Amino acid sequence: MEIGPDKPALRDALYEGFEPPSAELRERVLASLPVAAAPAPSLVAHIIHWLQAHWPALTLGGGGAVAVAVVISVILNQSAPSPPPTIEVYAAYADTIRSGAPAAPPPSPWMGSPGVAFVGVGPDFDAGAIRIENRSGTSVTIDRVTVDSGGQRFDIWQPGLKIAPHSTLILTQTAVLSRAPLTTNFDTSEANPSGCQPAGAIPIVHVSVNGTVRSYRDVNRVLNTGGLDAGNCGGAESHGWERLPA
Amino acid sequence: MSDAAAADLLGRAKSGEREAFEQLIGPLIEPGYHIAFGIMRDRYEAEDAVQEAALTAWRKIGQLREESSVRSWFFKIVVNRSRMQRRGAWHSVIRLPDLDVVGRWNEERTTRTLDLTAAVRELAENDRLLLFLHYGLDLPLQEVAPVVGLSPAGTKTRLYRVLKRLRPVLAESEGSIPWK
Repeated sequence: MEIGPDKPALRDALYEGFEPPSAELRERVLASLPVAAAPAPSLVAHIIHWLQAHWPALTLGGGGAVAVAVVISVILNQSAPSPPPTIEVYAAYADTIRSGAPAAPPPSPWMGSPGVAFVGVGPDFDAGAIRIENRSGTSVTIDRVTVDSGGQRFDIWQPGLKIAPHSTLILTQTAVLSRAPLTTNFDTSEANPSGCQPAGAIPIVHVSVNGTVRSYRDVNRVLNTGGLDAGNCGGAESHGWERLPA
Repeated sequence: MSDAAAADLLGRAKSGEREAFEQLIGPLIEPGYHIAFGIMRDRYEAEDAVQEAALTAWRKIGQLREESSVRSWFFKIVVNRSRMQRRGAWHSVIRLPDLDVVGRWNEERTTRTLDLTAAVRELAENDRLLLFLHYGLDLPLQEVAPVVGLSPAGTKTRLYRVLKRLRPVLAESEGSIPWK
């Protein structure tokens, strides 16, 4: 005997508390896939077939043939690395609400600038910012961006962000933790040691593209405002874009 | 879509044709999100899990056997990914605003739904997943089986047991609940 419950009631219970996905989820997920085609699935099979056809004298069991084919396919894959994408990485600091001082404009370009994909939440900012320029004529998918500063790793942006040809991606705070005082999840100046002497280490921005991670050193310490928490040392923290060397 | 068309699409996707892959996986993104949300109860985590699952699927579609269900295969990847990054359990949080949403139904049904919700919440995670796949996403049991890691016969038996466990809750208003 087959039994079954009242499906609408059970469905309601199963979906209890569910939140709908972002409207653009499907497009975003599909757009995040690497531009390069999936690894040719039949390469190993082709090599096994070739081995069996051209090397019949070779006594390889099924497992042996597969092993040889896998080794050859790995070598073939390694011999044709994809060229590195042409990107440039910049750092800035946006401090738009410093108390006791006029509101400082954010760096430029910023949210709303032409050709800029902006990942961050405002309207007020107290945060470092990363800008990635795609200088090539093809889209670039950034697998992941993380920032190491003051002994902390900031990993706050969704993976798989796509930058259109000759366009810009800007990453900054994605959450406001408190409004007064403004505290955000990318307040890289707070990651410095206490005190007003520059003591913070050089922040490093890790950018992963096509499985390859490149590290960019913020040698002028833009992200950690010179190695001290300038906002607590009587100064404003805003700083324009500076290109980071790889 | 005919079997031949589906097989052709899968073949093209396996050969690395991105458009074919998108046609195969695109319709599964939203149900995949629901599966992930059920496991993690967090929209952003769920979206992240589905995105990672799609990436894994793109990289591994060459390993998918011709006779396998693409839905089952992708949903299994979503489940594995979600479990890896899960922070909480299924239905670990009851959000009062969501209960208001339930309230748009009639009172009798709302009460029953809340009872059911509590009962469903007490089930083991894999049992909730089984129910969700079959009753939430309308997957046939033969496609549910590989996702929950059971044989088709084992899945049917498991479903019977889970429903039997829920039956007392549903039986409170049995007159209005059509048990088949």
